[in-house]
Amino acid sequence: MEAACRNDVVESSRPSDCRGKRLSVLIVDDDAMTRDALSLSCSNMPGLDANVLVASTIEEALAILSTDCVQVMLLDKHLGRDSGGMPVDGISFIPEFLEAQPELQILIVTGMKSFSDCVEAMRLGAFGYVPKDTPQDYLAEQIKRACEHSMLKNKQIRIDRGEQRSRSHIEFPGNSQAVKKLRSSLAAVAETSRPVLLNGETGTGKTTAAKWIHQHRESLFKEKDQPFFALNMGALPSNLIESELYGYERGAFTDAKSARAGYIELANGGTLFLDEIGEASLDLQSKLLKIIEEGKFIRIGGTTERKSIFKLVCATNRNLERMVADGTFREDLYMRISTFVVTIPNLVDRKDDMPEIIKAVLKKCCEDNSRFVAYRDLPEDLIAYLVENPPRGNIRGIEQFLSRLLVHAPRDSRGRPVLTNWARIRELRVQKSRRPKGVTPISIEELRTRSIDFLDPQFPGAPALTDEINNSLMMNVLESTGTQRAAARVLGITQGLISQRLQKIKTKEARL
Amino acid sequence: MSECTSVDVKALCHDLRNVKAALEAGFAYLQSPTEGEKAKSLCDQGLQRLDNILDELQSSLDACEDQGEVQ
Repeated sequence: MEAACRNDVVESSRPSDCRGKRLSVLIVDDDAMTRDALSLSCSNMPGLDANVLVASTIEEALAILSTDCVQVMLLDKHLGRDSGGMPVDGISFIPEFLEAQPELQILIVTGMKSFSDCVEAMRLGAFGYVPKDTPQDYLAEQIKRACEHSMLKNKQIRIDRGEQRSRSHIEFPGNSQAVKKLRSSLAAVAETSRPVLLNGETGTGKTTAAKWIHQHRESLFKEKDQPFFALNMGALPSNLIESELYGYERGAFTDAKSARAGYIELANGGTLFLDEIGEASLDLQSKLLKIIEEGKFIRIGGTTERKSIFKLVCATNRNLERMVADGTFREDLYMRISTFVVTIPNLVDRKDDMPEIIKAVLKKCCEDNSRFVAYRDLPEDLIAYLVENPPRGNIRGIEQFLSRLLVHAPRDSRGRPVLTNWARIRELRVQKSRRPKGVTPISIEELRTRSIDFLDPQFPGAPALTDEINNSLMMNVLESTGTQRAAARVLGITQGLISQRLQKIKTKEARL
Repeated sequence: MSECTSVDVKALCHDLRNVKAALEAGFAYLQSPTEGEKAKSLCDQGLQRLDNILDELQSSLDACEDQGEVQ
Protein backbone atom coordinates (compact mmCIF):
# COMPACT_ATOMS: atom_id res chain seq x y z
CA MET A 1 0.00 0.00 0.00
CA GLU A 2 2.90 2.31 0.51
CA ALA A 3 3.59 2.51 -3.19
CA ALA A 4 -0.12 2.47 -3.71
CA CYS A 5 -0.50 5.77 -1.98
CA ARG A 6 2.66 7.44 -3.18
CA ASN A 7 2.29 6.94 -6.90
CA ASP A 8 -0.57 8.91 -8.24
CA VAL A 9 -1.28 7.47 -11.62
CA VAL A 10 0.50 4.39 -12.89
CA GLU A 11 3.12 2.24 -11.26
CA SER A 12 5.73 2.19 -13.98
CA SER A 13 8.31 0.30 -12.03
CA ARG A 14 7.13 -2.07 -9.37
CA PRO A 15 8.96 -2.89 -6.16
CA SER A 16 11.35 -5.76 -6.36
CA ASP A 17 10.45 -7.60 -3.19
CA CYS A 18 7.79 -10.24 -3.71
CA ARG A 19 6.56 -9.25 -7.14
CA GLY A 20 7.17 -10.70 -10.51
CA LYS A 21 10.03 -13.03 -11.21
CA ARG A 22 12.66 -11.10 -9.27
CA LEU A 23 13.79 -12.94 -6.18
CA SER A 24 15.56 -11.63 -3.12
CA VAL A 25 18.66 -13.26 -1.70
CA LEU A 26 19.93 -12.26 1.73
CA ILE A 27 23.63 -12.86 2.49
CA VAL A 28 24.41 -13.08 6.21
CA ASP A 29 28.16 -13.12 6.85
CA ASP A 30 30.37 -11.19 9.26
CA ASP A 31 33.27 -11.16 6.79
CA ALA A 32 33.00 -8.15 4.43
CA MET A 33 35.13 -9.78 1.73
CA THR A 34 32.94 -12.90 1.67
CA ARG A 35 29.78 -10.78 1.59
CA ASP A 36 31.18 -8.89 -1.41
CA ALA A 37 32.21 -12.12 -3.15
CA LEU A 38 28.82 -13.80 -2.66
CA SER A 39 27.00 -10.60 -3.57
CA LEU A 40 28.99 -10.31 -6.81
CA SER A 41 28.32 -13.95 -7.67
CA CYS A 42 24.58 -13.79 -6.88
CA SER A 43 24.05 -10.53 -8.80
CA ASN A 44 25.63 -11.98 -11.94
CA MET A 45 24.54 -15.60 -11.94
CA PRO A 46 23.12 -16.48 -15.35
CA GLY A 47 19.37 -17.12 -15.22
CA LEU A 48 19.08 -15.66 -11.75
CA ASP A 49 17.55 -12.18 -11.63
CA ALA A 50 18.22 -11.58 -7.96
CA ASN A 51 17.93 -8.59 -5.69
CA VAL A 52 20.84 -9.07 -3.26
CA LEU A 53 20.61 -7.89 0.35
CA VAL A 54 23.44 -8.17 2.88
CA ALA A 55 23.64 -8.36 6.68
CA SER A 56 26.65 -8.80 8.94
CA THR A 57 24.82 -9.70 12.16
CA ILE A 58 21.77 -11.70 13.26
CA GLU A 59 20.00 -8.49 14.31
CA GLU A 60 20.52 -6.93 10.90
CA ALA A 61 19.22 -10.08 9.22
CA LEU A 62 16.08 -10.17 11.38
CA ALA A 63 15.45 -6.49 10.67
CA ILE A 64 15.65 -7.12 6.93
CA LEU A 65 13.34 -10.15 7.20
CA SER A 66 10.75 -8.04 8.98
CA THR A 67 10.55 -5.50 6.18
CA ASP A 68 11.55 -7.29 2.97
CA CYS A 69 10.28 -10.44 1.38
CA VAL A 70 13.29 -12.75 1.04
CA GLN A 71 13.19 -16.11 -0.71
CA VAL A 72 16.72 -17.41 -0.09
CA MET A 73 19.20 -16.75 2.71
CA LEU A 74 22.92 -17.59 2.43
CA LEU A 75 23.90 -17.96 6.06
CA ASP A 76 27.40 -18.29 7.48
CA LYS A 77 27.94 -20.52 10.49
CA HIS A 78 30.59 -18.38 12.21
CA LEU A 79 29.21 -14.88 12.68
CA GLY A 80 31.98 -13.46 14.86
CA ARG A 81 31.47 -12.88 18.56
CA ASP A 82 28.65 -11.27 20.52
CA SER A 83 29.08 -8.41 23.03
CA GLY A 84 29.98 -10.96 25.74
CA GLY A 85 32.78 -12.40 23.60
CA MET A 86 30.92 -15.63 22.89
CA PRO A 87 31.03 -16.99 19.31
CA VAL A 88 27.76 -16.52 17.38
CA ASP A 89 26.59 -19.68 15.61
CA GLY A 90 24.38 -18.80 12.62
CA ILE A 91 22.92 -22.33 12.46
CA SER A 92 21.29 -21.96 15.88
CA PHE A 93 19.22 -19.00 14.59
CA ILE A 94 17.58 -20.96 11.77
CA PRO A 95 14.27 -21.47 13.69
CA GLU A 96 14.07 -17.73 14.41
CA PHE A 97 14.59 -16.86 10.74
CA LEU A 98 11.98 -19.39 9.64
CA GLU A 99 9.48 -18.02 12.12
CA ALA A 100 10.01 -14.53 10.73
CA GLN A 101 9.42 -15.76 7.18
CA PRO A 102 8.06 -19.31 6.87
CA GLU A 103 8.65 -19.52 3.10
CA LEU A 104 12.34 -18.61 3.46
CA GLN A 105 14.88 -21.24 2.33
CA ILE A 106 18.21 -21.15 4.15
CA LEU A 107 21.46 -22.32 2.58
CA ILE A 108 24.36 -22.63 4.99
CA VAL A 109 27.40 -21.30 3.12
CA THR A 110 30.43 -21.85 5.31
CA GLY A 111 34.18 -22.12 5.26
CA MET A 112 34.02 -25.22 7.46
CA LYS A 113 33.19 -28.66 6.15
CA SER A 114 31.59 -30.28 9.17
CA PHE A 115 29.31 -33.29 8.96
CA SER A 116 27.75 -32.63 12.37
CA ASP A 117 27.04 -28.98 11.48
CA CYS A 118 25.42 -30.13 8.26
CA VAL A 119 23.16 -32.58 10.11
CA GLU A 120 22.24 -29.98 12.73
CA ALA A 121 21.42 -27.36 10.08
CA MET A 122 19.16 -29.74 8.16
CA ARG A 123 17.48 -30.82 11.40
CA LEU A 124 16.64 -27.21 12.19
CA GLY A 125 15.10 -26.69 8.75
CA ALA A 126 17.90 -25.47 6.47
CA PHE A 127 17.49 -26.12 2.76
CA GLY A 128 21.14 -27.07 2.16
CA TYR A 129 24.76 -26.90 3.25
CA VAL A 130 27.33 -25.55 0.80
CA PRO A 131 31.07 -25.01 1.46
CA LYS A 132 32.34 -21.58 0.43
CA ASP A 133 34.85 -22.95 -2.06
CA THR A 134 32.16 -24.81 -3.96
CA PRO A 135 32.02 -24.16 -7.75
CA GLN A 136 29.91 -21.14 -8.73
CA ASP A 137 27.54 -23.08 -10.97
CA TYR A 138 26.72 -25.50 -8.15
CA LEU A 139 25.94 -22.59 -5.82
CA ALA A 140 23.75 -21.00 -8.52
CA GLU A 141 21.89 -24.30 -8.97
CA GLN A 142 21.28 -24.57 -5.23
CA ILE A 143 19.99 -20.99 -5.04
CA LYS A 144 17.61 -21.61 -7.95
CA ARG A 145 16.29 -24.78 -6.35
CA ALA A 146 15.88 -23.02 -3.02
CA CYS A 147 13.96 -20.25 -4.76
CA GLU A 148 11.60 -22.76 -6.39
CA HIS A 149 10.98 -24.34 -2.99
CA SER A 150 10.30 -20.93 -1.51
CA MET A 151 7.70 -20.17 -4.20
CA LEU A 152 6.01 -23.53 -3.62
CA LYS A 153 5.98 -22.98 0.13
CA ASN A 154 4.50 -19.52 -0.37
CA LYS A 155 1.79 -20.98 -2.59
CA GLN A 156 1.05 -23.67 -0.04
CA ILE A 157 0.75 -21.11 2.77
CA ARG A 158 -1.60 -19.02 0.65
CA ILE A 159 -3.78 -22.02 -0.14
CA ASP A 160 -3.82 -23.06 3.52
CA ARG A 161 -4.96 -19.57 4.47
CA GLY A 162 -7.86 -19.74 2.04
CA GLU A 163 -6.68 -17.59 -0.84
CA GLN A 164 -9.63 -16.95 -3.15
CA ARG A 165 -7.68 -16.59 -6.34
CA SER A 166 -9.52 -17.74 -9.48
CA ARG A 167 -7.52 -20.03 -11.70
CA SER A 168 -9.88 -19.47 -14.63
CA HIS A 169 -10.31 -16.24 -16.53
CA ILE A 170 -12.83 -13.85 -14.98
CA GLU A 171 -15.19 -11.99 -17.30
CA PHE A 172 -18.43 -10.07 -17.08
CA PRO A 173 -20.90 -11.65 -19.51
CA GLY A 174 -22.69 -9.44 -21.97
CA ASN A 175 -22.07 -6.48 -24.24
CA SER A 176 -24.56 -3.90 -23.05
CA GLN A 177 -23.50 -0.27 -22.65
CA ALA A 178 -23.58 -0.75 -18.87
CA VAL A 179 -21.15 -3.67 -18.89
CA LYS A 180 -18.86 -2.05 -21.47
CA LYS A 181 -18.67 1.02 -19.27
CA LEU A 182 -18.02 -1.19 -16.26
CA ARG A 183 -15.14 -3.00 -18.00
CA SER A 184 -13.46 0.22 -19.06
CA SER A 185 -13.85 1.72 -15.58
CA LEU A 186 -12.37 -1.37 -13.95
CA ALA A 187 -9.48 -1.44 -16.43
CA ALA A 188 -8.73 2.21 -15.73
CA VAL A 189 -8.71 1.82 -11.95
CA ALA A 190 -6.72 -1.43 -12.16
CA GLU A 191 -3.78 0.51 -13.61
CA THR A 192 -3.43 2.75 -10.61
CA SER A 193 -2.08 1.57 -7.31
CA ARG A 194 -4.55 3.63 -5.31
CA PRO A 195 -7.47 1.95 -3.49
CA VAL A 196 -10.72 1.30 -5.33
CA LEU A 197 -14.22 1.31 -3.85
CA LEU A 198 -16.82 -0.93 -5.50
CA ASN A 199 -20.44 0.00 -4.95
CA GLY A 200 -23.41 -2.08 -5.86
CA GLU A 201 -26.40 -4.03 -4.69
CA THR A 202 -25.94 -7.50 -3.29
CA GLY A 203 -25.32 -10.14 -5.95
CA THR A 204 -24.23 -7.73 -8.67
CA GLY A 205 -20.71 -9.16 -8.80
CA LYS A 206 -18.49 -7.02 -6.56
CA THR A 207 -16.20 -9.95 -5.72
CA THR A 208 -16.01 -10.81 -9.42
CA ALA A 209 -15.08 -7.19 -10.13
CA ALA A 210 -12.30 -7.33 -7.52
CA LYS A 211 -10.93 -10.53 -9.08
CA TRP A 212 -11.21 -8.94 -12.52
CA ILE A 213 -9.10 -5.98 -11.32
CA HIS A 214 -6.52 -8.40 -9.88
CA GLN A 215 -6.27 -10.43 -13.09
CA HIS A 216 -6.10 -7.29 -15.20
CA ARG A 217 -3.19 -6.02 -13.08
CA GLU A 218 -1.41 -9.36 -13.45
CA SER A 219 -1.64 -9.23 -17.23
CA LEU A 220 -0.85 -5.51 -17.31
CA PHE A 221 2.32 -5.88 -15.27
CA LYS A 222 3.17 -9.30 -16.77
CA GLU A 223 3.08 -11.00 -13.40
CA LYS A 224 1.78 -14.44 -12.64
CA ASP A 225 0.33 -16.00 -9.55
CA GLN A 226 0.23 -12.92 -7.36
CA PRO A 227 -1.78 -13.30 -4.14
CA PHE A 228 -5.47 -12.37 -3.94
CA PHE A 229 -7.01 -12.34 -0.49
CA ALA A 230 -10.61 -11.48 0.31
CA LEU A 231 -12.06 -10.79 3.72
CA ASN A 232 -15.70 -10.10 4.53
CA MET A 233 -15.69 -7.47 7.25
CA GLY A 234 -19.21 -8.35 8.28
CA ALA A 235 -18.62 -12.08 8.62
CA LEU A 236 -16.33 -12.16 11.66
CA PRO A 237 -16.23 -10.41 15.04
CA SER A 238 -13.94 -7.38 15.21
CA ASN A 239 -11.12 -9.03 17.21
CA LEU A 240 -10.96 -12.00 14.83
CA ILE A 241 -10.91 -9.72 11.80
CA GLU A 242 -7.97 -7.92 13.33
CA SER A 243 -5.93 -11.09 13.82
CA GLU A 244 -6.88 -12.32 10.33
CA LEU A 245 -5.81 -9.01 8.81
CA TYR A 246 -2.67 -8.23 10.79
CA GLY A 247 -1.51 -11.69 11.88
CA TYR A 248 0.01 -12.31 15.29
CA GLU A 249 3.22 -13.20 17.04
CA ARG A 250 3.73 -16.31 19.15
CA GLY A 251 2.23 -15.82 22.61
CA ALA A 252 0.14 -12.78 21.59
CA PHE A 253 -2.86 -14.53 23.16
CA THR A 254 -3.58 -17.90 24.77
CA ASP A 255 -4.00 -19.89 21.57
CA ALA A 256 -1.19 -18.19 19.63
CA LYS A 257 1.23 -21.12 19.83
CA SER A 258 3.11 -19.98 16.75
CA ALA A 259 3.41 -16.76 14.80
CA ARG A 260 1.01 -16.34 11.89
CA ALA A 261 1.03 -13.89 9.02
CA GLY A 262 -2.18 -11.95 8.37
CA TYR A 263 -3.93 -11.18 5.09
CA ILE A 264 -2.17 -7.82 4.85
CA GLU A 265 1.21 -9.56 4.91
CA LEU A 266 0.14 -12.41 2.65
CA ALA A 267 -1.34 -10.03 0.08
CA ASN A 268 2.08 -8.38 -0.39
CA GLY A 269 2.56 -7.88 -4.11
CA GLY A 270 -1.06 -8.73 -4.93
CA THR A 271 -4.58 -7.61 -4.04
CA LEU A 272 -6.47 -7.37 -0.77
CA PHE A 273 -10.25 -7.27 -1.14
CA LEU A 274 -12.22 -6.02 1.86
CA ASP A 275 -15.87 -6.84 1.28
CA GLU A 276 -18.60 -5.09 3.28
CA ILE A 277 -16.18 -2.37 4.40
CA GLY A 278 -19.14 -0.50 5.87
CA GLU A 279 -19.40 -3.19 8.56
CA ALA A 280 -15.90 -2.49 9.94
CA SER A 281 -15.89 -1.17 13.51
CA LEU A 282 -14.63 2.37 14.15
CA ASP A 283 -11.63 0.93 15.99
CA LEU A 284 -10.68 -1.24 13.02
CA GLN A 285 -11.26 1.66 10.66
CA SER A 286 -8.61 3.73 12.44
CA LYS A 287 -6.16 0.82 12.21
CA LEU A 288 -6.87 0.40 8.50
CA LEU A 289 -6.05 4.04 8.01
CA LYS A 290 -2.44 3.44 9.06
CA ILE A 291 -1.82 0.62 6.66
CA ILE A 292 -3.44 2.57 3.81
CA GLU A 293 -1.45 5.71 4.60
CA GLU A 294 1.95 4.23 5.33
CA GLY A 295 1.84 0.65 4.09
CA LYS A 296 3.20 -0.37 7.49
CA PHE A 297 1.68 -2.55 10.16
CA ILE A 298 2.57 -4.48 13.30
CA ARG A 299 1.41 -8.02 13.99
CA ILE A 300 -0.74 -8.42 17.11
CA GLY A 301 1.58 -8.90 20.07
CA GLY A 302 4.59 -7.82 18.02
CA THR A 303 6.89 -4.83 18.11
CA THR A 304 8.47 -4.96 14.67
CA GLU A 305 6.97 -2.72 12.06
CA ARG A 306 6.43 -4.59 8.78
CA LYS A 307 5.76 -3.42 5.28
CA SER A 308 3.29 -4.72 2.72
CA ILE A 309 2.52 -3.40 -0.74
CA PHE A 310 -0.80 -4.39 -2.26
CA LYS A 311 -3.72 -3.11 -4.26
CA LEU A 312 -6.64 -2.43 -1.94
CA VAL A 313 -10.13 -3.02 -3.27
CA CYS A 314 -13.07 -2.33 -0.94
CA ALA A 315 -16.72 -3.07 -1.57
CA THR A 316 -19.98 -2.13 0.04
CA ASN A 317 -23.70 -2.06 -0.62
CA ARG A 318 -24.20 0.58 2.02
CA ASN A 319 -24.24 4.31 1.59
CA LEU A 320 -20.86 5.23 3.05
CA GLU A 321 -21.43 8.95 2.59
CA ARG A 322 -24.51 8.72 4.74
CA MET A 323 -22.59 6.65 7.28
CA VAL A 324 -19.91 9.36 7.38
CA ALA A 325 -22.61 11.96 8.00
CA ASP A 326 -24.05 9.77 10.77
CA GLY A 327 -20.62 9.34 12.35
CA THR A 328 -20.55 5.55 11.90
CA PHE A 329 -17.79 5.61 9.27
CA ARG A 330 -14.55 7.58 9.53
CA GLU A 331 -14.41 10.40 7.04
CA ASP A 332 -10.61 10.20 6.64
CA LEU A 333 -10.85 6.49 5.78
CA TYR A 334 -13.68 7.17 3.36
CA MET A 335 -11.61 9.88 1.66
CA ARG A 336 -8.73 7.46 1.20
CA ILE A 337 -10.66 4.50 -0.15
CA SER A 338 -13.03 6.47 -2.36
CA THR A 339 -10.58 8.09 -4.78
CA PHE A 340 -11.93 5.73 -7.42
CA VAL A 341 -15.51 4.58 -7.01
CA VAL A 342 -16.92 2.06 -9.47
CA THR A 343 -20.62 1.28 -9.33
CA ILE A 344 -21.54 -2.22 -10.45
CA PRO A 345 -24.84 -2.06 -12.36
CA ASN A 346 -27.73 -4.20 -11.15
CA LEU A 347 -29.68 -6.63 -13.33
CA VAL A 348 -32.43 -4.13 -14.12
CA ASP A 349 -29.83 -1.98 -15.91
CA ARG A 350 -28.40 -5.01 -17.73
CA LYS A 351 -31.51 -6.52 -19.29
CA ASP A 352 -29.76 -6.82 -22.67
CA ASP A 353 -27.10 -9.00 -21.05
CA MET A 354 -29.55 -11.37 -19.39
CA PRO A 355 -29.24 -14.25 -21.90
CA GLU A 356 -25.44 -14.09 -21.63
CA ILE A 357 -25.62 -13.87 -17.84
CA ILE A 358 -28.02 -16.84 -17.68
CA LYS A 359 -25.69 -18.80 -19.97
CA ALA A 360 -22.67 -18.09 -17.75
CA VAL A 361 -24.55 -18.75 -14.51
CA LEU A 362 -26.07 -21.98 -15.90
CA LYS A 363 -22.58 -23.37 -16.54
CA LYS A 364 -21.58 -22.71 -12.93
CA CYS A 365 -24.85 -24.10 -11.57
CA CYS A 366 -24.44 -27.30 -13.60
CA GLU A 367 -20.96 -27.82 -12.13
CA ASP A 368 -22.11 -26.99 -8.59
CA ASN A 369 -25.16 -29.27 -8.67
CA SER A 370 -23.81 -32.08 -10.87
CA ARG A 371 -26.77 -31.67 -13.26
CA PHE A 372 -25.75 -30.96 -16.81
CA VAL A 373 -28.05 -29.00 -19.09
CA ALA A 374 -27.03 -27.02 -22.18
CA TYR A 375 -28.16 -23.42 -22.56
CA ARG A 376 -30.12 -24.36 -25.70
CA ASP A 377 -32.16 -26.78 -23.55
CA LEU A 378 -33.56 -23.93 -21.46
CA PRO A 379 -37.13 -23.16 -22.56
CA GLU A 380 -37.41 -19.78 -24.28
CA ASP A 381 -40.32 -18.73 -22.09
CA LEU A 382 -38.17 -19.38 -19.01
CA ILE A 383 -35.45 -17.03 -20.30
CA ALA A 384 -38.07 -14.44 -21.23
CA TYR A 385 -39.61 -14.79 -17.78
CA LEU A 386 -36.27 -14.20 -16.07
CA VAL A 387 -35.54 -11.19 -18.28
CA GLU A 388 -38.91 -9.64 -17.42
CA ASN A 389 -38.84 -10.64 -13.77
CA PRO A 390 -35.26 -10.28 -12.55
CA PRO A 391 -35.08 -12.20 -9.28
CA ARG A 392 -34.17 -10.51 -6.04
CA GLY A 393 -30.43 -10.76 -5.36
CA ASN A 394 -29.36 -9.95 -8.92
CA ILE A 395 -26.93 -12.54 -10.37
CA ARG A 396 -26.99 -14.50 -7.11
CA GLY A 397 -30.77 -14.63 -7.46
CA ILE A 398 -30.44 -16.12 -10.95
CA GLU A 399 -27.97 -18.63 -9.57
CA GLN A 400 -30.47 -19.66 -6.89
CA PHE A 401 -33.28 -19.91 -9.44
CA LEU A 402 -31.29 -22.07 -11.86
CA SER A 403 -29.97 -24.29 -9.06
CA ARG A 404 -33.53 -24.95 -7.87
CA LEU A 405 -34.61 -25.58 -11.45
CA LEU A 406 -31.86 -28.14 -12.05
CA VAL A 407 -32.38 -29.93 -8.75
CA HIS A 408 -36.19 -29.98 -8.54
CA ALA A 409 -37.03 -30.55 -12.22
CA PRO A 410 -38.37 -34.05 -12.99
CA ARG A 411 -35.88 -36.38 -14.73
CA ASP A 412 -36.20 -38.40 -17.91
CA SER A 413 -35.27 -42.09 -18.25
CA ARG A 414 -31.55 -41.15 -18.63
CA GLY A 415 -31.62 -39.01 -15.49
CA ARG A 416 -31.50 -35.68 -17.33
CA PRO A 417 -33.66 -32.81 -15.97
CA VAL A 418 -36.83 -32.16 -18.02
CA LEU A 419 -37.44 -28.42 -18.09
CA THR A 420 -40.47 -28.04 -20.35
CA ASN A 421 -42.95 -27.73 -17.45
CA TRP A 422 -40.68 -25.47 -15.39
CA ALA A 423 -43.54 -23.17 -14.37
CA ARG A 424 -45.14 -26.02 -12.41
CA ILE A 425 -42.12 -26.52 -10.18
CA ARG A 426 -43.25 -25.17 -6.80
CA GLU A 427 -39.75 -24.46 -5.55
CA LEU A 428 -39.22 -22.02 -8.40
CA ARG A 429 -41.30 -19.26 -6.89
CA VAL A 430 -39.18 -16.31 -7.93
CA GLN A 431 -38.53 -13.84 -5.18
CA LYS A 432 -39.18 -10.83 -7.31
CA SER A 433 -37.68 -7.59 -6.31
CA ARG A 434 -40.86 -5.85 -5.24
CA ARG A 435 -39.00 -2.94 -3.84
CA PRO A 436 -39.09 0.13 -6.06
CA LYS A 437 -35.69 0.88 -7.59
CA GLY A 438 -33.49 3.05 -5.43
CA VAL A 439 -35.38 2.35 -2.18
CA THR A 440 -33.36 0.33 0.30
CA PRO A 441 -34.79 -0.59 3.68
CA ILE A 442 -33.32 1.10 6.72
CA SER A 443 -31.00 -1.19 8.67
CA ILE A 444 -31.74 -2.06 12.30
CA GLU A 445 -28.49 -0.39 13.33
CA GLU A 446 -29.49 2.79 11.51
CA LEU A 447 -32.97 2.63 13.00
CA ARG A 448 -31.45 2.44 16.45
CA THR A 449 -29.01 5.26 15.94
CA ARG A 450 -31.15 7.74 14.03
CA SER A 451 -33.78 9.91 15.68
CA ILE A 452 -37.29 10.88 14.55
CA ASP A 453 -38.06 14.51 13.81
CA PHE A 454 -40.91 15.04 16.27
CA LEU A 455 -41.00 18.75 15.41
CA ASP A 456 -42.26 17.88 11.94
CA PRO A 457 -45.89 19.11 11.62
CA GLN A 458 -46.78 15.71 10.12
CA PHE A 459 -45.78 13.91 13.33
CA PRO A 460 -48.98 12.07 14.30
CA GLY A 461 -47.97 11.27 17.88
CA ALA A 462 -46.30 8.15 19.24
CA PRO A 463 -49.25 5.63 19.23
CA ALA A 464 -50.32 6.43 15.66
CA LEU A 465 -46.72 6.40 14.37
CA THR A 466 -45.83 3.06 16.00
CA ASP A 467 -49.11 1.60 14.64
CA GLU A 468 -48.18 2.79 11.17
CA ILE A 469 -44.66 1.36 11.44
CA ASN A 470 -46.01 -1.96 12.78
CA ASN A 471 -48.49 -2.27 9.93
CA SER A 472 -45.94 -1.37 7.27
CA LEU A 473 -43.45 -3.89 8.65
CA MET A 474 -46.11 -6.58 8.83
CA MET A 475 -47.22 -5.96 5.23
CA ASN A 476 -43.62 -6.13 4.01
CA VAL A 477 -42.98 -9.42 5.79
CA LEU A 478 -46.30 -10.86 4.57
CA GLU A 479 -45.45 -9.90 1.02
CA SER A 480 -42.06 -11.50 1.28
CA THR A 481 -43.00 -14.71 3.10
CA GLY A 482 -46.37 -15.30 1.42
CA THR A 483 -48.22 -16.82 4.39
CA GLN A 484 -49.51 -15.47 7.70
CA ARG A 485 -47.93 -18.35 9.58
CA ALA A 486 -44.45 -17.66 8.16
CA ALA A 487 -44.87 -13.91 8.74
CA ALA A 488 -45.87 -14.55 12.36
CA ARG A 489 -42.70 -16.62 12.82
CA VAL A 490 -40.51 -13.87 11.37
CA LEU A 491 -42.19 -11.09 13.33
CA GLY A 492 -42.31 -13.04 16.59
CA ILE A 493 -46.07 -12.50 17.07
CA THR A 494 -49.10 -14.77 16.88
CA GLN A 495 -50.95 -15.54 13.67
CA GLY A 496 -54.13 -14.32 15.39
CA LEU A 497 -52.60 -10.89 15.94
CA ILE A 498 -51.70 -10.66 12.26
CA SER A 499 -55.23 -11.47 11.09
CA GLN A 500 -56.62 -9.05 13.68
CA ARG A 501 -54.39 -6.27 12.35
CA LEU A 502 -55.22 -7.13 8.76
CA GLN A 503 -58.90 -6.87 9.60
CA LYS A 504 -58.32 -3.44 11.12
CA ILE A 505 -56.44 -2.28 8.03
CA LYS A 506 -59.24 -3.50 5.78
CA THR A 507 -61.90 -1.73 7.86
CA LYS A 508 -59.86 1.47 7.81
CA GLU A 509 -59.42 1.27 4.04
CA ALA A 510 -63.16 0.59 3.55
CA ARG A 511 -63.99 3.64 5.69
CA LEU A 512 -61.70 5.82 3.59
CA MET B 1 59.11 -12.05 17.67
CA SER B 2 55.92 -14.15 17.94
CA GLU B 3 55.55 -17.13 20.21
CA CYS B 4 55.86 -20.69 18.96
CA THR B 5 52.23 -21.85 19.08
CA SER B 6 50.40 -24.58 17.21
CA VAL B 7 48.46 -23.21 14.23
CA ASP B 8 44.65 -23.43 14.43
CA VAL B 9 44.19 -25.56 11.33
CA LYS B 10 40.37 -25.25 11.41
CA ALA B 11 40.48 -21.46 11.44
CA LEU B 12 43.17 -21.52 8.75
CA CYS B 13 41.03 -23.71 6.49
CA HIS B 14 38.04 -21.42 7.09
CA ASP B 15 40.09 -18.34 6.17
CA LEU B 16 41.63 -19.98 3.11
CA ARG B 17 38.19 -21.04 1.84
CA ASN B 18 36.97 -17.44 2.25
CA VAL B 19 40.00 -16.27 0.26
CA LYS B 20 39.45 -18.89 -2.42
CA ALA B 21 35.76 -17.90 -2.76
CA ALA B 22 36.71 -14.22 -3.04
CA LEU B 23 39.44 -14.86 -5.64
CA GLU B 24 37.19 -17.14 -7.68
CA ALA B 25 34.38 -14.58 -7.74
CA GLY B 26 36.89 -11.81 -8.51
CA PHE B 27 38.56 -13.65 -11.38
CA ALA B 28 35.20 -14.68 -12.85
CA TYR B 29 34.08 -11.08 -13.35
CA LEU B 30 37.44 -9.34 -13.90
CA GLN B 31 36.68 -8.82 -17.58
CA SER B 32 33.05 -7.77 -17.01
CA PRO B 33 32.44 -4.21 -18.23
CA THR B 34 29.99 -3.51 -15.41
CA GLU B 35 31.48 -5.48 -12.52
CA GLY B 36 35.17 -5.20 -13.44
CA GLU B 37 35.98 -2.64 -10.74
CA LYS B 38 34.25 -4.62 -8.00
CA ALA B 39 35.97 -7.82 -9.16
CA LYS B 40 39.41 -6.15 -9.13
CA SER B 41 38.83 -4.83 -5.62
CA LEU B 42 37.75 -8.32 -4.51
CA CYS B 43 40.92 -9.87 -6.00
CA ASP B 44 43.03 -7.25 -4.19
CA GLN B 45 41.28 -7.99 -0.90
CA GLY B 46 41.74 -11.75 -1.42
CA LEU B 47 45.44 -11.40 -2.20
CA GLN B 48 45.92 -9.06 0.77
CA ARG B 49 44.19 -11.59 3.03
CA LEU B 50 46.41 -14.35 1.60
CA ASP B 51 49.50 -12.21 2.35
CA ASN B 52 48.34 -11.79 5.93
CA ILE B 53 47.79 -15.51 6.35
CA LEU B 54 51.26 -16.25 4.90
CA ASP B 55 52.89 -13.63 7.13
CA GLU B 56 51.21 -15.12 10.15
CA LEU B 57 52.29 -18.63 9.20
CA GLN B 58 55.86 -17.50 8.46
CA SER B 59 56.26 -15.75 11.80
CA SER B 60 54.84 -18.77 13.60
CA LEU B 61 57.30 -20.98 11.68
CA ASP B 62 60.22 -18.65 12.46
CA ALA B 63 59.37 -18.64 16.15
CA CYS B 64 59.25 -22.40 16.26
CA GLU B 65 62.55 -22.77 14.34
CA ASP B 66 64.20 -20.45 16.85
CA GLN B 67 63.07 -22.75 19.63
CA GLY B 68 64.15 -25.77 17.63
CA GLU B 69 60.74 -27.26 17.33
CA VAL B 70 58.87 -27.02 14.08
CA GLN B 71 55.18 -27.46 14.48
